[in-house]
Amino acid sequence: MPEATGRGRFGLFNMRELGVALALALIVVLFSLLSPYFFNISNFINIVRQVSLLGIIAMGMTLVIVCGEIDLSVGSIYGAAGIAAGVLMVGGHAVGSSVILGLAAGVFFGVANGVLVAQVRIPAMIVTLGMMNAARGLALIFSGGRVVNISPRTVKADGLDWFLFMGQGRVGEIPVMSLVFAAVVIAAYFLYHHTLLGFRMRAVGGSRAAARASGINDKLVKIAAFGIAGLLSAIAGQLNIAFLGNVQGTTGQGMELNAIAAVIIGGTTLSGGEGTILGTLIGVLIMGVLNNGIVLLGVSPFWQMTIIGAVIVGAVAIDKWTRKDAQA
Amino acid sequence: MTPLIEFRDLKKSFPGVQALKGVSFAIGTSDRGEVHALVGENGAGKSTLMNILGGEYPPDGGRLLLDGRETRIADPHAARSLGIGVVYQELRLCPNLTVAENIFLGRERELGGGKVRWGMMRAAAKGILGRLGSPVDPDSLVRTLNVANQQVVEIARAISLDARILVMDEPTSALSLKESEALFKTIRDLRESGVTIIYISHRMEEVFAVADRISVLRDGSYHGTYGREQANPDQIVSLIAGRELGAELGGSRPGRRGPGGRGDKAVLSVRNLSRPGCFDGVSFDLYEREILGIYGLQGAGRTEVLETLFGLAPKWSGEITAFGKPIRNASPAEAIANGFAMAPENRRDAGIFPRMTVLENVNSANPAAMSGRFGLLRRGAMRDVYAEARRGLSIKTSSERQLARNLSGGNQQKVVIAKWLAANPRILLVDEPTRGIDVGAKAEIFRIIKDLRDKGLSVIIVSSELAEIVSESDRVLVMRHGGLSACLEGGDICREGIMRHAL
Repeated sequence: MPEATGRGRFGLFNMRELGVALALALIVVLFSLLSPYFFNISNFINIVRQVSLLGIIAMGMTLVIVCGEIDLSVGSIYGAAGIAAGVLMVGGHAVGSSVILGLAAGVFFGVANGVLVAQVRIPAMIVTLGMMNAARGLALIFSGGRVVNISPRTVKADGLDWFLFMGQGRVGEIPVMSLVFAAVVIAAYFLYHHTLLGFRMRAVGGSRAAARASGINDKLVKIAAFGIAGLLSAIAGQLNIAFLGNVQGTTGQGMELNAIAAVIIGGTTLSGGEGTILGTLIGVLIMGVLNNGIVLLGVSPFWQMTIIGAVIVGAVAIDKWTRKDAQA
Repeated sequence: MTPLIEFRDLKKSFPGVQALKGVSFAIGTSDRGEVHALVGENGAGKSTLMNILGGEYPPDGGRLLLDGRETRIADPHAARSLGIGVVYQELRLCPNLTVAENIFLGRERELGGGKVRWGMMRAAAKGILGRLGSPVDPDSLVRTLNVANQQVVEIARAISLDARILVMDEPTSALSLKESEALFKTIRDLRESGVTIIYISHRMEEVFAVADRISVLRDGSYHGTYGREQANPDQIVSLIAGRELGAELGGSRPGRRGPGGRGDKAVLSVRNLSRPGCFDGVSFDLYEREILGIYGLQGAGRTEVLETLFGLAPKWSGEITAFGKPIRNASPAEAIANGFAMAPENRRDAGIFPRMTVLENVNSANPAAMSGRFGLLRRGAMRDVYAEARRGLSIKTSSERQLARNLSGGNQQKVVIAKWLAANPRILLVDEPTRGIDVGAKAEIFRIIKDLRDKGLSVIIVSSELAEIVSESDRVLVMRHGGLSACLEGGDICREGIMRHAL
């Protein structure tokens, strides 16, 4: 069992995750009562598919925030990595190598973020704001500002079938995209709770001075977190193009803020050092359920943003309040 | 004749330490100025007393009388309106604003009668600075001034308040001789104009040059007020140091050894170690199985020496030899690899990981044991380290999952020591081993440190508590103004002897 926050545990959850999980359950019950279409398996599968890409990005964001940093560039990396792969495929390159280059681009952007933050010591807010614009610009340049379509008509190389299957296919009832999401969650959980690297991310985020004084290379740890966030954004970007069959330069705008929102709702503190993978997973699901339920109820989509906004602030407010209790 | 300020049985406690144990004395008279020096070693209670006077925090008990009337000073603002100005040792200036803006910070509308008149403020600032004999331009940014000039700005601000009482906490620590003399002249002028100056300093020459009367504090208690003609510097130093107090930590020098007890092999040799602005030309040896104490007043450079040894200093020169080979210790990681470990002064910020569990904390400096292939955490091995630490150092925790920040200071310090023991160090550096720790736990921490010494570790402790240094060290280095002023052994280790070299 991981000792994530050191507070009491309740079965699979620690206390803080339990709070977020209860909130999720409450929302589910509420929508089930309000809408006849909400509570059924196919809708749930739909919700999970809708949040899969956001969820993959939020896992990387969790690691970055736990290190006490922030990454505003994940949405742009998501778009740019998809564009890179798509343009390469349409340009006649093998599907496999196009995807690998797209992923490599994501890692490159992420590591560049990490080096600038940890080594050059520019605040992450500024570095990743710059990267957000730079990667977005590169995506637009590379695509020439046009929509990149991938279909058997535009991509002649082999392997397009399996690539599209990753985005559109299903195993039984379950979308492949969601299986990838599940795999990422498990990998992130393992990395974060069961490896030295995950331990050190928490140590560096909790107290950089103590981490340095303990001989931990805080720079490498941060670079790794940003690199992983870049890679996961690029993976989500590949799945996105495979799902839609097309991608454009503006894809993924605003995604970074949704990812941060999910992480925060999930109980990770912006100051670093605290947070769990399970919490982020529940945070992502809360965002998905809210979006889905509001649409089913026929409420104006403008309300979605308002409600999500209130949930973000409310979640942190409740957490602060309960924690004061726990400490007293 | 009513005294200007009178303290009656003033008490103040902080977690783990009683800073003022019922202090009663008087300063100044209502009708004319006085320069009153307040002296005492680190932690004697001077700053606590002045913080109470400056409204930083209230006393726990006792009374404060101004002009014979009982007064409560609720906050720094209240202190100001009572005519009390404080020049703190740590400068409190906004570096991004100009000198004039800083001097009138928070009182921008005062001179203009309700309107903000920068021209008047600049002129007034210039006048005050001129009175101080300072060439500082009121329009220059504070950021661009050196520390001495920033200090002058602080003093100018206090003077601009038309304070009746002006507290100066070691105002000359960053000043040159010439600047100090200008300051003394200002102090005398202020006294002539009826201001009472409370002057805190460690430097006896200054105290005797400028003060009319001298009050001594020791260990939170008052030890008399003397006119300048009544006492000489030697007597004051004796009063500051106090008599030998061997019983303070439960018995005189428990387990103390003479020089023969330690190994005669130097495990660490430091030659001509210098760090710009902190210390200069420090040389010493550390032997096998000994506890080397380093004492010095605040700012003498003790902590900086430890930081440098442990790879936390940005730039330094000199030679460090450990176990016969020259080393650089460019980073803590390198220092750890060379067998060093360090329990830092600011335990809560740099010693423990406050939001991690005790189990995780005691394993945090020991990556080789806590992780296996592919960097996987070995929970079993981590639990073993925890169990060993808990038993060996009797750390009191409710469970392995308790957060380190919820432990008492003493247990936190044990966690820090346990974390380093797990990494098998050969040289242990401990900065302020008992800061913020209650008396019972203090003795326990030292029992642990002595145990480690007897098992072959070499330990350096830095402490600002004289009693601790005297009773716990096998040898004592004394630092003064960034240099080594003495190395004391055996019978020479006593409060007075150490204090003489420190002042």
